[in-house]
Amino acid sequence: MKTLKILTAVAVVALVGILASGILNFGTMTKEDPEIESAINDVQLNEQAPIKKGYEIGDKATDFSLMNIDGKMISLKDYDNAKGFIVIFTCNHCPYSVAYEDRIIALDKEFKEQGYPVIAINPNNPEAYPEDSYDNMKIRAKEKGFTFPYLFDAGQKIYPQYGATKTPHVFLLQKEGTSNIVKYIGAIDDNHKDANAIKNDYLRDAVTNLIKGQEIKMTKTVAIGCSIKS
Amino acid sequence: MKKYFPFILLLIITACSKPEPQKAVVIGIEDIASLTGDYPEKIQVINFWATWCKPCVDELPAFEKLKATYGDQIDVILISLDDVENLETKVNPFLEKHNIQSQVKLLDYPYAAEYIPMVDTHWMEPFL
Repeated sequence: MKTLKILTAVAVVALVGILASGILNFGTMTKEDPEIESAINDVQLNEQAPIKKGYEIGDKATDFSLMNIDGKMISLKDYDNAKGFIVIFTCNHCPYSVAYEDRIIALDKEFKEQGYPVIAINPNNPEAYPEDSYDNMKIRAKEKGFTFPYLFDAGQKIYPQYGATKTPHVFLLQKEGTSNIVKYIGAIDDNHKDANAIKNDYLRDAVTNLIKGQEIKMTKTVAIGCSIKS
Repeated sequence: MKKYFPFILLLIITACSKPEPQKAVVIGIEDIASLTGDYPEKIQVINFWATWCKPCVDELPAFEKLKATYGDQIDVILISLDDVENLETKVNPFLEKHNIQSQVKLLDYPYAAEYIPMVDTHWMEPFL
């Protein structure tokens, strides 16, 4: 009986997403309500078959040609001397992204010299978030003194290929010949609020491992931040 | 005057029973553990949100409707991920402005990777 209760609770929590998207017009809640039943079935189907999109560790990451805040187009292939890239999908409007700006600058300064520059990409649709417009990107980059390219994913073509879902969302790439292989996906670290209270410095550890030719211990972490809006 | 007294009393009672908007209660990770660990008699609908999260704010009316419709059968708990520093300046004023009736808690714990699996491991699946 307790299991049933637990299952019901979980199903209801999941259901709310569906209810919120507009099926909230049924009358009184009864266990026999066919709409609820079918919604629960839908939820279970979704849970059994999660949709997989974007890159896995070891995949070849696509190159791109995206406009930087200085109006120039940037591609990964332009970086002859790079050993890899710290690609970070980030934006202006998200408080998590803002909280990480100084840390992203520090990562770029630390690792650019060692062959792993930061490439920041704003994946958001400025119509959904005017703060993330190309003009506002230029303003923010200047205010903060970004040391790295801050590219605009015009038409939102690149982020879905990578499988970025959040800002900030990191994809650490390593050059192998002409390919860029995905080595780490996820968060920058585990504390957006306080850089001095980090318990796990995921990205820095991963880049350091790559540079030293060591195995990356945590290749995937959960990116915490704001959902990318199309 | 005396015969109006019951009406005045009724008026006062009505005015007093007008539901006040909620204020956020600050919680930590141990509260997430007890919220999700001990299954209560009532069904709990737990929603994570933040005042700065536009899609989250857009869906709040659906949770409020759920609370208004089934409030006697279920607990609707809105867990804000706003920074605790913004409790009095942003979160509570927001709750008042939008007259939020569901329970509101503010989770003051930055290590999301620790509490996410306590809530639901499926939360992590799309990323892992």
